[in-house]
Amino acid sequence: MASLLAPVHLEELPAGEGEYFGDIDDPEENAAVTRSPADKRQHEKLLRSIARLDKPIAAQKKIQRSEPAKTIGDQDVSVGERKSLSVSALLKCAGSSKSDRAGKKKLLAEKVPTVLAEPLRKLDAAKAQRTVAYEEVSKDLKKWDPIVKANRVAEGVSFPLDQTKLNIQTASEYVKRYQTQTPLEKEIADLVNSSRNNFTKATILTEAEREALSAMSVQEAEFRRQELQKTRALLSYKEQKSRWQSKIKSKGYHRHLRRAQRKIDEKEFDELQKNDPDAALDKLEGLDKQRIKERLTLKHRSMGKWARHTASRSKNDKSAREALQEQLRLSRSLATKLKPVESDSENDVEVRQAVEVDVVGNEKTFDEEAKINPWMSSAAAAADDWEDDPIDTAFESLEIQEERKEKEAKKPTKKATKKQKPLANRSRPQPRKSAGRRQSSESGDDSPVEVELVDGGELIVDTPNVQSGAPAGVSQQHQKHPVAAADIDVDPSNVIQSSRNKVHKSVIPSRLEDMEADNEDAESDSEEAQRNVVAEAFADDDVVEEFNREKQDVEEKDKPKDIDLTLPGWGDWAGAGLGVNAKKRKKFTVKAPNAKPRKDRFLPNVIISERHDEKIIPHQIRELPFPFTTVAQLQSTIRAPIGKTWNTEAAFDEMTKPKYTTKTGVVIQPINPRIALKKNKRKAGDFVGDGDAARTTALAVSEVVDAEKKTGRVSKRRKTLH
Amino acid sequence: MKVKVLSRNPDDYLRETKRDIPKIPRNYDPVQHPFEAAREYVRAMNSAKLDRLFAKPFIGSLGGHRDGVQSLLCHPRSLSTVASGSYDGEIRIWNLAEQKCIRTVQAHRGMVRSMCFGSSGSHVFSVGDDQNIKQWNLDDFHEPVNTILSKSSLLSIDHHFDEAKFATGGDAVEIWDEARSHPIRSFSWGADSIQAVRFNRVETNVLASCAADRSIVLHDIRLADSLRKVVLTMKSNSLCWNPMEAFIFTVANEDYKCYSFDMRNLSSPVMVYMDHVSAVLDLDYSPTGKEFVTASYDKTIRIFPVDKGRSREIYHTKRMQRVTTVKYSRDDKYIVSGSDEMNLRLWKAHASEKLGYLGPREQSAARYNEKLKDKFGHHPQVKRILRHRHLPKHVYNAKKQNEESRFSKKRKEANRRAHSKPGAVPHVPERSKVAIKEQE
Repeated sequence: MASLLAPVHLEELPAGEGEYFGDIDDPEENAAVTRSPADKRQHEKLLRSIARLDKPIAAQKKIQRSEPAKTIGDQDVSVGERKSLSVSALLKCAGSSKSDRAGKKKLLAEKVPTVLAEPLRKLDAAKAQRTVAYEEVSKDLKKWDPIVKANRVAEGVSFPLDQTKLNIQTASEYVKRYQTQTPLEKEIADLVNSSRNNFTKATILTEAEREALSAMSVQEAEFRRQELQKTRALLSYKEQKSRWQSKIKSKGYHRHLRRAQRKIDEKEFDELQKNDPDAALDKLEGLDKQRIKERLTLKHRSMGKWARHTASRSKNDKSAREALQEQLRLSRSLATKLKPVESDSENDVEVRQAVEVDVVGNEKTFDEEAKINPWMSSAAAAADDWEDDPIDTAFESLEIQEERKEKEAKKPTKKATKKQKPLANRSRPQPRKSAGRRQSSESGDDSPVEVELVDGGELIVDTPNVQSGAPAGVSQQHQKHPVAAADIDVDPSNVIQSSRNKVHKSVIPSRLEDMEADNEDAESDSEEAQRNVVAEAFADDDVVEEFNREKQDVEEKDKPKDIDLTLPGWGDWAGAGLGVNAKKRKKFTVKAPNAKPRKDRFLPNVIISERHDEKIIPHQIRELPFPFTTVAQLQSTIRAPIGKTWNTEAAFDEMTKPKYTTKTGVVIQPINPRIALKKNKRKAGDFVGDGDAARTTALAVSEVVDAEKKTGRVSKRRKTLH
Repeated sequence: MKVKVLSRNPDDYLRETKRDIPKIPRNYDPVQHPFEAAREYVRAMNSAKLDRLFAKPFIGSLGGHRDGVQSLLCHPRSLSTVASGSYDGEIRIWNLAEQKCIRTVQAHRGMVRSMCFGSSGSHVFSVGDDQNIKQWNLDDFHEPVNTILSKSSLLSIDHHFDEAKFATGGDAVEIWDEARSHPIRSFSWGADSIQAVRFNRVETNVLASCAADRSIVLHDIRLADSLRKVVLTMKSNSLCWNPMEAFIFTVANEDYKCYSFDMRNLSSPVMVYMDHVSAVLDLDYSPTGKEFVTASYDKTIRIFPVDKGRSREIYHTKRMQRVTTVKYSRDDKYIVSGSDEMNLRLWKAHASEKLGYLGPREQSAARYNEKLKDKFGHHPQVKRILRHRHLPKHVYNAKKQNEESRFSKKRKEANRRAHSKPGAVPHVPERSKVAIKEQE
């Protein structure tokens, strides 16, 4: 029995302990079994004695069950060596204070379960064990996530991964190894460091060098002195000259001087009129004073001494007569009243005032509309500028929009001319070839401009077949306010609705309409002015003509052209101003074949591009390939060339770096957890190293997450993170 | 008469010696190069064509076995050493550089089921149909160093990456210590025969096994019980762990596909690889973990990038029969395959890559060409050339047939969806159809 004790003991070990199989097959144990009988007996004896030694301990450990008696007598002796204290017994000793009672109740309420829970079935137990183990292992594998993720996206990886890296030590690193030690060394180091000729990393030049450079050179000083001398001399010459000039007594000279001065003044005034009206007004005042003086004095009149004398001479002397006439003309010109340049027409001022009133009245509605109507947004932005010249600003902004769309070179000149034209001259639109076909509106308004609007600002252009009555599709509402309608004058013979049209109709008419709706009893002249303004805005806007021009341009562009291969100077004299011989030019010009008839030649309102190339189609990508989401992304990958022809050597090397490289004949070992994880930890350590930064970033992240939670985007973020 | 000609200084354009690289002045201003994209496109086309032109992956065939090759393995340290075991119980050691058999031994009675190298590479362990586990010393190959008689037949064996332990698969997965004659641990979870056992090369105590009951089971040799089990629709023939990603393994399945699993989430594979037209028998990861190679019953070898569902390459020859086993060389340059018709074949891993030394200019040209193919890979013509492969007739036909059947299934499902209540026939991704049950 006793000899079996050891193996029995082993059997009690859990199955997964590992030594199980090992111990059973232990060679030493096996050897013990196969010993001689005498040895065997001795061995058994030994074991028995050992077992006997164990026995009392085993008896000690034996626990006897005993039912607790209800009452404990004084003579009762506890059976077991160690009797556990019961809770109830302890509680008996507890006091009767309020807190004690509460504790008692609580403790007594907790019942000790009398029956132990049934152990799990073997299958379930194993399952639970497996689940726990799997979760443990899975959790442990998480440490690989950052490494795997980094390796997947890494560029230019070189396998095998664990290669010792050779670094070149820089000079500064080398120098750092040496430290000053003795006081003498320190003194010398201080001296050396305080020198102004030391190199620093920040700047290329030393301090001393910089100073030397910034100081002036001798030549430069010399040069500057000479300059000063020269200017001084010039100044003195000028002074001398003016002194001499002031002493000249010749009348003819002074007359000549005055005349020249006057001419200069006139010229200046003209220029000022154009450029600086305020300064011109000042100048005008001066001239006015002159005029008054002229009117007061008789200097240039015919009654003067010189005039009378000349008059008597003028009968025979032609030059004298001319001189007299000149004198009179001068007098007249000096005496005529000069008019200010700006605000020449009173009409204009009136119109402007009227419109201003309207604008003030409509400001609110205009702003509201601007919010709804995208076309108005820019107008709304410019609302502040409306105060000084609202209509003009509106048209300017419109024209800017147009310009952006069309980028026509013509536009700016148009604008300039329009601006300079006085408004009075613009009151009627220019007569145009389509004028004869214009139709008057229902209300009998004889204005040549008319607009018909359907709901939503759609334009119905009056075509010849539409009668003067209400056109089909025009809502009643709009016909009630015929005045509100302002037509765009388009050549009815060729009608095309281009995108430009839409801009005009949506902005201007709706705006006008709003104005109208709010101020029904607005001044009639202001209405007219507005209408005129609208008409003016679209007067030059010939969409059809533009389209035709565009079509012509396209045709011209697509037409095959002759190729001139003449080389100037080849077999002939060459040089500036020498043309190429016409015969030669003809000889070396490759004639273009006749173009195929265009597909759109019978379609007046269509441009069909002829540049479609059949040959290139099989080379073009049909569908956007997988990783790309937009065409621009795909194009961006193709646009930049990577070849040596277009890039520097370094850039080429960088761009053609393969995703990973391997070395011939070198065994690539699987990733080494010891190295890889250590590296990773070090990287993380670097980050944690500056603790405050890490903490703040963590805080920031948590804040972001909080914010996202609020907006309900947290799930999305998680997805992107993992 | 004096003839005037244009003259240039030869120093500007002649090189001093033959080895000098001619200096080409370049103007990198993009305005000067209006056709750069077009020119690069042409270069890309040319490089794609050259790529196909130089694609000669087959290096050589190693003959000598007198029966089909069943198992194959590459030496962990020496690149040129390869061991192979055949149906007739013979093990041969080969030198790949010389393409010669170095050693031969009749190891088992019956088939050599599986082999593995010890962690140091000095010993080979083999299991055969005769229920023996034999340990061979590479230097003294006549007699086995150690023979262990197993109680049941064994189908596979794999060695721990750095400890002196190995695992066998048969009736159960058993873990052995090299110094003991009895297994130190045994895992069984309802499977009748374990087809393949593989240790993880990174987390070295974890191993996975494929069983004939279509299950894949994960184990940890430190623990008493297995970890988890997943049952697929069909049997997995082989299994391989990614050597660079500790938790990814891929199985070669009987349903013509391979599946990559993240061992932490077995409910669905992370990637499905399809292209084979018959059962996939074996697979092996490239040491970089970026690709793996598969051997199939359809007499072809395919190479799959791990992040793409389709193969990038197919290798086949007229004489190669069912490919039973395949291995990637440890330097990522070669592939060795063993097939039914008694031959080992050596292939290049990158079909058109030049072997041997490359000069710096050659290197940069090769890199540039690679990048160009990448850059213009989406263009239909380039793509067409790069994807073009000649397929054996039976593969071509089988592929067509498979596609047809897949399409018809799809069509049927679509019809069903169209004619039933919305939501009644949900879209089920291909991935989630694979793993039918994950057991704890």
